Amino acid sequence: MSERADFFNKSADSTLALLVYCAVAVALVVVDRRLNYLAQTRQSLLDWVRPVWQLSEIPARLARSAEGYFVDRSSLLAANEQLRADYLLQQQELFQLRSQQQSQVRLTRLISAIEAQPELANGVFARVMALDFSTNQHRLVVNQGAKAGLAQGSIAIDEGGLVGQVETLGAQVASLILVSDPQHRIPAQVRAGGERFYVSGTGSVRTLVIEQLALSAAIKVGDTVQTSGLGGVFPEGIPIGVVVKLDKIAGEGLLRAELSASAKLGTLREVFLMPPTPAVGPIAPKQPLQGQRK
Amino acid sequence: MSDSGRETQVFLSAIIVALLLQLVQLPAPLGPLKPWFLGMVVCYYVLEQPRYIGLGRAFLIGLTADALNGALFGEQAFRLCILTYLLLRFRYRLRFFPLWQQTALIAVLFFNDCILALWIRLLGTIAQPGFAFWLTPLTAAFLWPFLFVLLDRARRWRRPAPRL
Repeated sequence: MSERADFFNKSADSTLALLVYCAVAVALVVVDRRLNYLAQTRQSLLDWVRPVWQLSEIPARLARSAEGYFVDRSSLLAANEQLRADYLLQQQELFQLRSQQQSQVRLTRLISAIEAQPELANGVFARVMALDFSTNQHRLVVNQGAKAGLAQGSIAIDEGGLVGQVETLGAQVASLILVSDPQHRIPAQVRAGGERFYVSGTGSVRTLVIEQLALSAAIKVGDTVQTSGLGGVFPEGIPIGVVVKLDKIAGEGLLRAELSASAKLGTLREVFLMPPTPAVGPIAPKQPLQGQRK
Repeated sequence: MSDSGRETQVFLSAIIVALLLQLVQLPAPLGPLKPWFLGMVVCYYVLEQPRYIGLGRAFLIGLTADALNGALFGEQAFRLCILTYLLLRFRYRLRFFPLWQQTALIAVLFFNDCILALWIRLLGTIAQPGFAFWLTPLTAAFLWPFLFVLLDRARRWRRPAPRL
């Protein structure tokens, strides 16, 4: 009985205590958050408990460093795979950037070459779609045609010099015969008023040739050969090639000159096309396109 | 005497470990499910050794925990007081429950505690917890038998066989 009474008594006591403690706790919460009276205390408390926080961070830190040692193999492999894929992708982008940079350099050179000759102003740029050096016929296909104002006999240059002329014309496409084609001949000269001769292709992309040059001709290795403007089609003064070799033709009293083409025929990407100039002189032989000129 | 000294050591270390566990950050998926370890340890002592825990000590321990957490001053003190009070009221019955019933009751108690925590946080204008908050009573219940056995072992470790 007394045990029972004691229990109830204790319980009544503890209920009162509970109410008091709860009231204090609630008061603390309200004072802390709603009234903000404890801001100062909180500040100093934070400083006091900081070491304990650092202590409690130890397991997490340990776990993190352990993770560094014991990363499982599959996730490592996956990460590796991902990195490699990223690397390849970026490599590809780098290549693209480089080629864009190169084409920008080429275009800049081409533009400055054109700006140097004001009479070339009314032409169009064209991108090279196909190059064919496989046979003795050297052809080039570009992505501009009659719609862009091209005509048969329109001439093509790159930043170095003469490339060729339009042989077959489509609406959106044109096929060019290159200066390196063995069937192609260009009326040429070393300087204005000097000897005139024809430059022919050899079937080699680099090399052009002047057959049958008089021994007395004022020409030497290193001279730049340019178009003479005779016979129409090609305006005067476009570089064709540089003399690299002079040979005496045995028993004929004539010279044979080898030129290195000024245009970079083997690596063409863009060309500049312009209409042919009207003929003023005698028609050059072996110019198959004369009759179809505009 | 030495027995009681050892008991006190075990009690203090259990409370300290629980306080530290409150601060330890668990990995992301487990973090929100972390039960209220301090409440569990206090539960155990109220049930098994009430001479260590009364309302006053519960209040003080709660205040210490609040100071350590730096969250809301008075929150855990309030919750621990109510938890202690409820357990003290029912401890005579609870002690003789089988462990699984005790565990179920712990889950209910801690769910009640969740509601209290929510209420006092509302009072203190603290951000509301997510859904996982309501699952913490379940994790507490899940861990309860382990904690119970662990603390029992710790208290009786190397103790001479009880004199009967």
